[in-house]
Amino acid sequence: MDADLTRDRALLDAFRRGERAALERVYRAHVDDVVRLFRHGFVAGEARVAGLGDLDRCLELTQDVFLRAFSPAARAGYDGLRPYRPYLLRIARNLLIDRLRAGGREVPLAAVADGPEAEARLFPPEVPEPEADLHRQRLKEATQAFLASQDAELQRFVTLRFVEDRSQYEVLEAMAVTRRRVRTLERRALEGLRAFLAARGLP
Amino acid sequence: MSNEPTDRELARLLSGRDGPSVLDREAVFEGVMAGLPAPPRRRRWLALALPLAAAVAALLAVTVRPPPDQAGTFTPRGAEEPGLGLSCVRGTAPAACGPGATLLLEVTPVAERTHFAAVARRGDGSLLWLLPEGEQPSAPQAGLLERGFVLDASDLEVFGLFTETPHTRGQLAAALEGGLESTPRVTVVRRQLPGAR
Repeated sequence: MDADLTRDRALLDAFRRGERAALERVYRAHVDDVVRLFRHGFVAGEARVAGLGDLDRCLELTQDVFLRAFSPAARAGYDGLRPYRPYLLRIARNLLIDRLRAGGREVPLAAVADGPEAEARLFPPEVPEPEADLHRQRLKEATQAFLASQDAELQRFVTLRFVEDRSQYEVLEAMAVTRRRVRTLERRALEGLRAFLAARGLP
Repeated sequence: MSNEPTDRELARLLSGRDGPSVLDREAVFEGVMAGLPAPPRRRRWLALALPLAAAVAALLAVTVRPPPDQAGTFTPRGAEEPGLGLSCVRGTAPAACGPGATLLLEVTPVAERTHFAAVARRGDGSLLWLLPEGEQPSAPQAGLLERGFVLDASDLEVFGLFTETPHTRGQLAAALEGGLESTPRVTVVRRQLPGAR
């Protein structure tokens, strides 16, 4: 989603006023990068800082990052000239370092230093996770089987809503259905999958 | 995953990715909005209301009156009463309505009155427009509205305003004839915030 605060003056003004729609645009544009930093860590100079891995912990910290970045003082202090992403990731990086230190882990000094190099090499190369977790693999296969057993409407809904990450409103526009229908489809997808997994002894 | 997978865990499976799902992202965002110290919506409502001061004045006038007696409200002959349900969430979890919670509206229109607007009245009598936005006209609504409203008080009454055609705030104020009771052009449904006195 395009949400460039340095080029979109109207967005910047709305963001500074704290308008929900503007905050949501900025959030959606950057949330995945923040989560990724917490999960996989970052590289600064020659130092690599490991991430936390656990997604739920990462999401908690992600909420903290945006709470700080979206506070009235932080919004007012953002000048709209510097790119927003490095600013946001700097908050995330410092929060991760604090969390690691609080857990008794050492953090290389090079990772703590601020500078353009640290920002430029924020993420380590992506390494595909091995499918060693048999249980997770079974869950994935069962989910595919569940989807294959559903009608075309539900399959399309799942693609739009869960694969493409669209909001309920975006989905209802794309499918030309009512809000009530979208909610029904969402319940069908989630409760149907829950029952499907339970019937197979999963999880 | 625990014995009973949560919606968010199921959504991750449905996404086919090893990462946050759309429900995760939405829950985190709602948590952020609920945690911000000053809900921005109030100031925004007020800012939007100022240019409409003349039109809103008629509505404001009712704030010094006693609450309207619902038994005496006007209901169009032969028409069913439209419905308005109020509930609150924090993140995606149901919650008591109070400061920081997000108020959700569930609208049940009737055939003659499909366009929906809403006004909230605080304990001090001040009025805040919930819908429609700014100078937009009201729109047909049904079911649980996607948009929520972050609360900064618990002593609110919410008034659903149902009309046959689109109305701006100013037009609604005129159609309400200076009150917050049903008129021939507007069906008003009044609801107390759940848990409020």
